[in-house]
Amino acid sequence: MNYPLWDVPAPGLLIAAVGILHVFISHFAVGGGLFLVLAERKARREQDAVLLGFLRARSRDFVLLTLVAGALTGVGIWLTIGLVQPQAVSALVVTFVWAWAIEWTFFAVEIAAASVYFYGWDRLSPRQHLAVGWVYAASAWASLVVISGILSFMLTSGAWPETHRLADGFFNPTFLPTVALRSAVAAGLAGLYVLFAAAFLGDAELKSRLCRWCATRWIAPAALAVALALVWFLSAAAAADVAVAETLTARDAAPLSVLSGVFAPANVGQPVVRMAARSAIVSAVALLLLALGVAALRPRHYGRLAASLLMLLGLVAMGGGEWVREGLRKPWVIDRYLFVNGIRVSAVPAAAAGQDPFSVGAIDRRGVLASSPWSEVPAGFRPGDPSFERLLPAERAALEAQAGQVVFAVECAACHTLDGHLSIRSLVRGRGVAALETVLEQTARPVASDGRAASWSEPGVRVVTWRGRRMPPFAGTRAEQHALAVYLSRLGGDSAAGLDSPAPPGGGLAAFEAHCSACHGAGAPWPIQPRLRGRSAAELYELIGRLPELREEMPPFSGSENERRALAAYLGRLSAGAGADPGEVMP
Amino acid sequence: MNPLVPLADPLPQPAPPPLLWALLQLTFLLHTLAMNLVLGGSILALHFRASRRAEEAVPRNQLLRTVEKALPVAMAAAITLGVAPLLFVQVLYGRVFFTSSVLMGWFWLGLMPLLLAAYYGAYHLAFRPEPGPARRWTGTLVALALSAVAFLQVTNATRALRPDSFSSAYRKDPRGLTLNLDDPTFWPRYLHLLLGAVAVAALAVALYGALRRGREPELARFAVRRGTAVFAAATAANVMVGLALLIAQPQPVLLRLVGGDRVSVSLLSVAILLAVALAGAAVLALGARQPWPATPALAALAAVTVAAMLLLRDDLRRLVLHDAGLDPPSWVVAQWTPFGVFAVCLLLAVAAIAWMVRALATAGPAARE
Repeated sequence: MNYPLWDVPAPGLLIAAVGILHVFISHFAVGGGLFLVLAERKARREQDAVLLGFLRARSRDFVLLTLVAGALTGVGIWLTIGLVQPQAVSALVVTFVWAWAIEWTFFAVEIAAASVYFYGWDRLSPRQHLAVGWVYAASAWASLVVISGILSFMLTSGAWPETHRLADGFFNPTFLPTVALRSAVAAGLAGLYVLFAAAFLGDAELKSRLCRWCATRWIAPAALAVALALVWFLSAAAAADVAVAETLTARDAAPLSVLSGVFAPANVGQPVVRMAARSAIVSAVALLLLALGVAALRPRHYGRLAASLLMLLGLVAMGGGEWVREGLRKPWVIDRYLFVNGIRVSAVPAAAAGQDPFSVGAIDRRGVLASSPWSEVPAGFRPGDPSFERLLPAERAALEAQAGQVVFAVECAACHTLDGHLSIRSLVRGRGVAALETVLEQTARPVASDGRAASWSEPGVRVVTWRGRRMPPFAGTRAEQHALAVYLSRLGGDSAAGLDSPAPPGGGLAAFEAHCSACHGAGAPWPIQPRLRGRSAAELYELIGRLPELREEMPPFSGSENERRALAAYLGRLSAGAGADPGEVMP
Repeated sequence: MNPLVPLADPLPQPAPPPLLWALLQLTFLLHTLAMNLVLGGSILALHFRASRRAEEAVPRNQLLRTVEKALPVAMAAAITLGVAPLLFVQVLYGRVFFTSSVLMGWFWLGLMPLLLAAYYGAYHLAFRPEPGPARRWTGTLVALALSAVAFLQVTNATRALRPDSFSSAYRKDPRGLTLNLDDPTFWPRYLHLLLGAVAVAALAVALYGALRRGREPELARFAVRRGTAVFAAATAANVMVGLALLIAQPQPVLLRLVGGDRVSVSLLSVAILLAVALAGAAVLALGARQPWPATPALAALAAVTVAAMLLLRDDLRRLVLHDAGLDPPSWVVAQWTPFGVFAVCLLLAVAAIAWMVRALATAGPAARE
């Protein structure tokens, strides 16, 4: 939109791949620093030359891993996000330039301290060496604190949308829980790494000591701290209007039951995020059991295979956790400011909001295609223009499908691929144009903090989405929405989409097509026929008025009173087995 | 018609642009000096390794070992010092920086594996002193990887100066597979960077020799002579390449550089004069019986020249972006308290690093357990 879109499938997966690798290494860099200095202190106090030798050797690996891979994947994730979400990085560097700059000072100290610590084993006095170790541990943790402020801001932006003050964004509702959670994870990862290194030791006595120490003094306490911090984090996020329950399980689930709720075989929540949460929890529990049950209790049976499995479990747990955090943040990339597809909701001062050409309101007025100067729009797509309206239906529909493809690239391709990750083809298979237009209208709606309906230009506006799908709103004109629906319907297999005459307006079939068929039409996951259960038109009329009460994932009926009556009559006839009114059958 | 350039965020700038600009220039200068040591050092190491003159084998191999051991540390410094200008350039020039990055997306991401390969290669050379053919290959790999990083940086930097080409380049290929080889400034600029890096690294070698002359006279003599000679040759060549780079500039920019804009003319004149003076002084120093007394002065003058070149580089960007309608944003709401915290953290960081480095430098075998 504002920036050119990097044309790669599922760019979010690229961020995930680099990001997960980086957080795994960087958290280890924080915890590992603390481990090294505490272990060195212990070894020196107890005059344990064997342990000191082990630490010295491991500090070299530590430098090689954290200074090189940690620092470079950190730069790498920054570059990757800059390519995929330039609008978000731009906003983050402008808002938090001094926070990033502060973090850089800690990073510089961290790099220098790690180098001096490594090169100083033979040259510094024990006291100096330990002091350098403490400088490393403190600066690495301080770096984690600053990054936590910015990452948590993206999830819960606090008072920032109203004030745009750095401090209001940084000290946001999930800042402290994030610091606690990531600190605990860092400590656990330090134990995990030493456990991994211990598996390669020839000295059985040292291996046994290290395994017991790491499993019982580092990993187990860290696991308990992670669990507590996670509950704190999820509660704080839910209190800040993050759709924790809706994304992970049912909308009305209590924060504490969310973690068990992800295992319930319910058709609720965001399926990919739920899977990530399950993977993270199972891996973390398996890691803890393996560390305690094998490494600590039976160190003789603990070997390289088990050590590799432990590292793999750690990586999956970490990756799953990060995936869940990203999933909870959707549809925002910056909470209550910027959606994942680069569309914004508000700006300061309030007067500027209307002038922001990339706000929802401005795009609704001007059109998403007109707001995307980098995209090539089919020249003939001019809805409302007589030359366009005079085209043959086939020509017009073909142009609409082309324009819809461009709209898809601009608004949807940040998350959806055609056939791979979050495949759009499988999501729209068999759906008609009217049904898809209804879905597009229901992707997200704005509400105020007290739940009342609001406008997108209201500072700090919240978002309500449908069935935990956490989609950003469709922004654009009606004609563009229709064009996108034509493109998607064709993608889903209906090669005549956009050509067929719609069902007669005001009829029950037309209402069903528009409001129900996305979920209850032919080929959809929940066909309507078995759900009617012989109910009469009057009963159905009443049920249509309170759909969310029947199932929370059902949106309220958004059609007119006449459509509701016609729909009830149509469904009543289907229910009675009479079939549709011949006049309402599409040609 | 104005070129297609993204609009600024609807957010206020967090500090007066001159402050951000000054921090960008300062941190970029530090990064450039460290980067020159790394890139130029890796190329010099190739030169030392390829040299076959038997009579200088001992000091040459000693010097090669010193360069190899210094490379990982210099690389850590270059990367750390590179993060800050990357931040400030995004705040000030993000509109062109992000766009030029997207155009070369996959290549831009290539920075990460290239730097990883160079970094691990440098550590391999530093930690494993055993000679063998693998060392030559590793050294070559490090130099090639770093040269490729420079190639990509120049690609992005030259593209960012051509906002008029953004739209057509993107339309031609939106997949992030576009380089900028058609730009007439590209090759002179890349060559300018490589020669500059070799020159600075060679001068650092000479400076090292000058500092070691009391303890290792043979090594010091070789380092000062060879470092100064390579510095003189690279700088003289770079004056010519610099002129080629000047001539390759788009005509409106060239006209202002050579007479239309007072700041630009002054910077260009100073930069050229300094470069010529440096090359001449180096040649004179080589003709003297003892070249080392001139080395510290040469190094200081070289640092000033690099600073002048970077200011000229920035001025070029100012001219081009001004023509494209990208003047610094006027909406500023300065965040002075966070800036104050940053300033304090920076001072503490400098103090902590100075203390640690001093402790390491002054401690010797006596401090061993």
